[in-house]
Amino acid sequence: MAGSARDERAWIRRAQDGSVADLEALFRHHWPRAYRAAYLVVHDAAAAEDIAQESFLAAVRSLERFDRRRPFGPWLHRIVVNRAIDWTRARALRREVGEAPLASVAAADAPDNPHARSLAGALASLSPEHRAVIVLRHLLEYTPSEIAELLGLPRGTVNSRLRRGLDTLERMLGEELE
Amino acid sequence: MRWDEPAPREHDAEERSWQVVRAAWEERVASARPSLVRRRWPLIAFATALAVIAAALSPPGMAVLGSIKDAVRGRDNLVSLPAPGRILVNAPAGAWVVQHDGSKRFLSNYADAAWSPHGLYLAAARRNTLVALEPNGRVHWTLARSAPVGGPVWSYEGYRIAYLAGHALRVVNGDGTGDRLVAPNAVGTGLPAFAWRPGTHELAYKNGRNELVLVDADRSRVLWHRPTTGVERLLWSDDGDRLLVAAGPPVVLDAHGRTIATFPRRGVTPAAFVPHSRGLTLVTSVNGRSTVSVYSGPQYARRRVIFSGIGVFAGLAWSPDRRWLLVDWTTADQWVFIRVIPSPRVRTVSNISQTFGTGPESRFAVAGWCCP
Repeated sequence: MAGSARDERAWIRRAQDGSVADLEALFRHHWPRAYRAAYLVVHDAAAAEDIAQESFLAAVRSLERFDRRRPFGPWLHRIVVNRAIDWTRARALRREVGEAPLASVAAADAPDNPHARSLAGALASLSPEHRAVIVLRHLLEYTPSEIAELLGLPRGTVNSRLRRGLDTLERMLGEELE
Repeated sequence: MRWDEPAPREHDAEERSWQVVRAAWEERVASARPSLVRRRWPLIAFATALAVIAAALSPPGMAVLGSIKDAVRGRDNLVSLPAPGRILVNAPAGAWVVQHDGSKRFLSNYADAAWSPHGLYLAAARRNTLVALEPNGRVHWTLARSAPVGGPVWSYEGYRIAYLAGHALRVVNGDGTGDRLVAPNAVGTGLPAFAWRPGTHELAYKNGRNELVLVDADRSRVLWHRPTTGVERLLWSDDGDRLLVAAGPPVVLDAHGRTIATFPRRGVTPAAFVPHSRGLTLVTSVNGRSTVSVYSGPQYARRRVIFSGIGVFAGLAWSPDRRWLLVDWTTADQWVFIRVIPSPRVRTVSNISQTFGTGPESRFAVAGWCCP
């Protein structure tokens, strides 16, 4: 699926006219990064699914009023990342036990490649706020200015979180970040 | 380090989520299409306006208008329930019925509302009056007593309602006829406690002498009684063979009043039998931490911890399909929906007190999750 800005505008326009096929194209194009972003912040596949799915539902509810001149991705990613941060903060307040079934589910679907596993593990050592800026920068490839706008933060705060987060990740992974 | 690898369960989650998103989209598109409704809009609008005015002047209508007014005051995060069914909530100002799609109806000035077995009706108290009404607020019958009414409970098939009038435990038929006294003094020290045994018209209650009694309410015959202390709540399993006596310490009895299991003396408050099972869900609190566990086995020796958190869990309710457990986490002001099967999952709804117009000084109570 190509996914240029022109494609995206066309998908949105035709979806607004009622085309399910174009809504699906929009969904399929954005799902992987929305889900991965949520997963890398929350480290819980079920929660990531909920967060990404509910973000898409929120998008669908507002799609008729969506301004097609604006890019869809940043709007969706803002919802995803903020929800993921909220979820992680809320989880820090509670402790889910009955871990045996949770662990077995997670183990059955553990990431296959060592890179993904080590990345997820290293990210888990960061605070949700630091994880979020790292994910926005390196997975979703936003600039620090765009991240500052997405999260409603001063640019300097984004830069310092990025620097501190990357230093930690490099220490843990023992390699340079691409 | 690479960022472009799929995350765990990404593809399965994509397919599941696409089905959900597609269904939501098709629903919106269908409702937005030009239709007979749109072509006949002026006529329908006029008729609707008349109906709204008429409804607003009726008692149920006043209640609905009240609910709309209350709902728009605060932020409402409860936008849907994770499983089919409806949740009943008793708040200080009245009862709330929460539908599966998150829509809510406020029934103003009713207390202690309880579902009928199939969720078609509610029984509720309004000062000295027992009221049977539909979840939309339409009143079916009322029964006035000389003392304050409280705590109505339906029998398993809806043919009997047990309730308190002052200190007396009474029973009335489901159609409001045949009101009679069961026990003149069913409220001693502590909270009143009574529960219908499923499949029967046998009523377990704690009397004013702190005895636990099982009575056949139709024949006014005591089946058994035994001493007990500090009973706060009685609950039967769905098969009518296990009775939880929530006291200190909590005890599970069989249908003949014999002890099956005794739990440690801890601050046990909310409890619920797992639907269609003898498994027992209990909240225990130790050192400021509350834990929800399911106990099972012949002597309830097997314990599975479901959820734990700091502070108070004030209520539990199983979804009718028994896949989800609702935990009312007072301290966090959250409802936590925990999916127990097929795989664990947690959904939270924050600021829940705002949804029901309550605050720290006045709390609501979850009265049941009923009937798809």
